[in-house]
Amino acid sequence: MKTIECDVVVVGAGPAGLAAAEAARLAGAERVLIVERDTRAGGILQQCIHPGFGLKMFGEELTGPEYAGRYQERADKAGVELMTCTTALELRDRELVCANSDGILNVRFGALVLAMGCRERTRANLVIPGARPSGIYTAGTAQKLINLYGDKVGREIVILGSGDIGMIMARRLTLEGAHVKAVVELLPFLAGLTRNKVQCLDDFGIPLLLSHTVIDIDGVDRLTSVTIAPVDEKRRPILDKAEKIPCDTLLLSVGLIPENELSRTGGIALSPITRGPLVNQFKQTSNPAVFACGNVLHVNDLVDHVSVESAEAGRCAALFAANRLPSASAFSTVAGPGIRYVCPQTVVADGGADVTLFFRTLVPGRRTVLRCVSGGKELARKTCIRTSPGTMESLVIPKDAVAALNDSIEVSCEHGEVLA
Amino acid sequence: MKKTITCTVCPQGCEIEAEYTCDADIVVRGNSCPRGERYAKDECLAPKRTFTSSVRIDAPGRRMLPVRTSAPVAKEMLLPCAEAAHGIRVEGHVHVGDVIRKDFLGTGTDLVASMTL
Repeated sequence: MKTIECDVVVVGAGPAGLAAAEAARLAGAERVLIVERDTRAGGILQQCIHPGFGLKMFGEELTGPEYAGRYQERADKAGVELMTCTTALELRDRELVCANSDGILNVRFGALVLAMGCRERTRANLVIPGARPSGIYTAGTAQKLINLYGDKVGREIVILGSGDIGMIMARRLTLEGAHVKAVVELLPFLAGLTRNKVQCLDDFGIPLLLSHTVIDIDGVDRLTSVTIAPVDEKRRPILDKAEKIPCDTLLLSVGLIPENELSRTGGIALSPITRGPLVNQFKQTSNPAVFACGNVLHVNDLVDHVSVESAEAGRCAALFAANRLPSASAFSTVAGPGIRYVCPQTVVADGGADVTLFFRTLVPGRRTVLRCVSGGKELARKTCIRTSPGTMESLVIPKDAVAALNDSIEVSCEHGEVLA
Repeated sequence: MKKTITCTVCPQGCEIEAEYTCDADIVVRGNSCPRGERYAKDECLAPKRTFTSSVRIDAPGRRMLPVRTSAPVAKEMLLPCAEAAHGIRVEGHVHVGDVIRKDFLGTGTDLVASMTL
């Protein structure tokens, strides 16, 4: 068994891991190592060949591979070590157990950054009744088969869920010559970003059926049809309005789950809402030597946000490894009226820097006032033309207010007009 | 003519009303920034999109090379571009930004690699 020592070890070489590792090196960590189970860095961005990445970070529209490539170059230049084809198996106290073709590898660390990303919810998560033929894919699997392997997944397509990957695959499949018959969404509003509806569905005349769901699946060897039905306000299918749609392929774009199996082996406390670790603004988890960032922490809609958040996680991990991360009393953040969750879940009253709270609203609305209040005092506020649960929102607490914290922080939202 | 356009320049998704009689005279309402105005005018006159796809490559451990157009192309060129991309095969080492097809389908933009392989 081989043992290596490093200041900061990062699990996962996707956009989160690359940004965290670069920042850790820039913050002074001597040896920074990324362990990655794939054959190369880039993570899921490798299969996201569509444009729309980097508008905030680089001020230009990049594809996923281009965005990942830039961060890989930056990590290389900063002197980050990358170990591919290596799986992290178990998180112990200051030790990560990994496996690769050489056998078992123990990595002793000063600090560790969890950056494993997320995976897709499947048919099993939704419990859709019916037959079990071939032709049912998660949208991301279909994306990988088409974009990385050049395979065909089907000709007549129905997509369940209006998540971003589903809409992007609706366009991709149309361009590949398939016929996308409908995108079916259980909720009365779009799950993903508006720009994806415009550029992926509207551009190609693909119908979006809101407040509808798939209630049955037919087919012996291959899928032959799905039955869809509208749902009432309690999301129960209205059976006498059910309609059978002949198709050979069903894609599921019904949500993402942070991949925290490794975090659980280390006893890291997880949030039941985000399904990611509970963290403070340093992205520090319930184990002070363990940090988390990117989609393993909470599912993001823009990689640009992931890069910023992950660089902060990497920087703080490096400071912790050098015994330089400040500590002070921590106060909870609370998801108040209209808010689903807030990340980070606690804020340490350290005035070193402004603190950005990321959160999602419960329903879409216009002229939305977002507020953050602590001890009866408003710490931040902004008004948005439009908000949607599919778009992550943020508020920045100025560092002076962070230093003066003496109570929990509540984030709330008030819509001028509700759009649900 | 009157048109409602959902702006896609940023995630705000402003609903922009555009009214126009001829090419030079477009009145735009509902945008919250100048980029929105530019976008709405482009959408009225000549909507453009960046084309992306992946094409066959002979490279170790890799079957497909992701590609893009170097600039947005006319929206109606997306399907013809996709068709043409099917026939492309790339050999050897490719660097991100390398031109795969110059002036792709006469769009005035190049088809370039978006990954180093």
